[in-house]
Amino acid sequence: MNIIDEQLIELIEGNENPEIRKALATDQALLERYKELEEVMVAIDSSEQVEVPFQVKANFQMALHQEKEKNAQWPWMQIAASVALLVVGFGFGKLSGGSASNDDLVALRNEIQSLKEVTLTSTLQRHSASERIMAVNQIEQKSSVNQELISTLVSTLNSDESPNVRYAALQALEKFISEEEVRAALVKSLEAQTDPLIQISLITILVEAEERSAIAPLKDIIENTEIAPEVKQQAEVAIEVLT
Amino acid sequence: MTDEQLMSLVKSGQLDFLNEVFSRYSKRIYNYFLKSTLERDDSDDLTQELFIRVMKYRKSYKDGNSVQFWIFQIARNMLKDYFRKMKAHKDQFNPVEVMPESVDEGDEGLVEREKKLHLAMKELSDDRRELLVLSKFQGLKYEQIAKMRGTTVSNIKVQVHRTIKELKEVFFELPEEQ
Repeated sequence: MNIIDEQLIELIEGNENPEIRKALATDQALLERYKELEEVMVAIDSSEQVEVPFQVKANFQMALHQEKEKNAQWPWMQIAASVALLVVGFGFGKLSGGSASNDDLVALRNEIQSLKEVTLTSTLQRHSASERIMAVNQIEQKSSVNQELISTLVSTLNSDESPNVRYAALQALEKFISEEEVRAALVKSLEAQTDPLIQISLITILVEAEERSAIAPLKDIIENTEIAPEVKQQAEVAIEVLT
Repeated sequence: MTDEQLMSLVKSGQLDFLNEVFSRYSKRIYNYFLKSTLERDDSDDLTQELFIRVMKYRKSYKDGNSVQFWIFQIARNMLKDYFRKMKAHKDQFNPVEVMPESVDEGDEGLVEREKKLHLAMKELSDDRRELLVLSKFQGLKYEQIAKMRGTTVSNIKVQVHRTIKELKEVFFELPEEQ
């Protein structure tokens, strides 16, 4: 029986072959070849893995850090790039025959505005807590906001995982307290909040806005055994002022 | 969390999860480069570059696909480029020993065998050495290697067995002391 090395390798890899086993028991030369192959394969199997040098890890960490920083700047760069595109597009439109009317300028301004708002909304949904606070602050600096941004702020106030972001959203909403829907959202939010600092701030804002529809949820707060005493105390004062 | 879930998070922009991908794959990738190139400094650079590519091209990862396959495919492409460049500077190619630092210096037999193994591997062609590293040192399945190389499983199996046979011949031709 002519047995080639490849068949012996298969045997060493665990594919049993009774005929080859039988031949190995009687053929000394074959056994020598088998042992040599086995030695090489054991050397391969037992060859240790070398540790990754520290410098490789450190350099990768640095590259990752830079990428993260670059991504953090992205929403703002995105606005800048989109605005630039719009302006260029507008300029081309003007050059190719048309004259810019007031309506065109208003349309361009609106486009830019909505782009900014879309980016702010997306930042509030996806980025880190510090970036979300930055986005909330950007909204707060606006002189007026649309329904979508109000909803985004309310949703941030009620469900953001970070109390700091929720608090920033409340401060931003306070600026638009003259809007009826903002007041209604803050009253509703009284039920959702669990952080005492936000609860107290919320009560204070509603009292200053003289929002009487807050009385019912304030009463619920006083009766709720899980709410902190200082919040209940603030709620009692608020009810006295509002009634 | 599976590698695939991790990579999907990285793809969606949660870059911190890349640290975990790095810790799961860096040693394997480093040793893949090291045993294929037999060059320490170049393996440092290649490993670093690979993870930077994973980071930069994260969006090209298809959700649900094997991360191991994807990463090794990137590594293979990098290695092919590396060998191409090295061929142009062949006279400068002077592989250093890539003995693991953890091998017990007291066990002379083990040290000697490891040394011989690397010297023998040096005599293999780049392509065969890489095939051996993938199949035996990194433990990739023949099916995965066949998919990477665009060939059949039986063809890969034959090539691996021939490579082991060639390695054995070189291994036993080497003198005991180098």
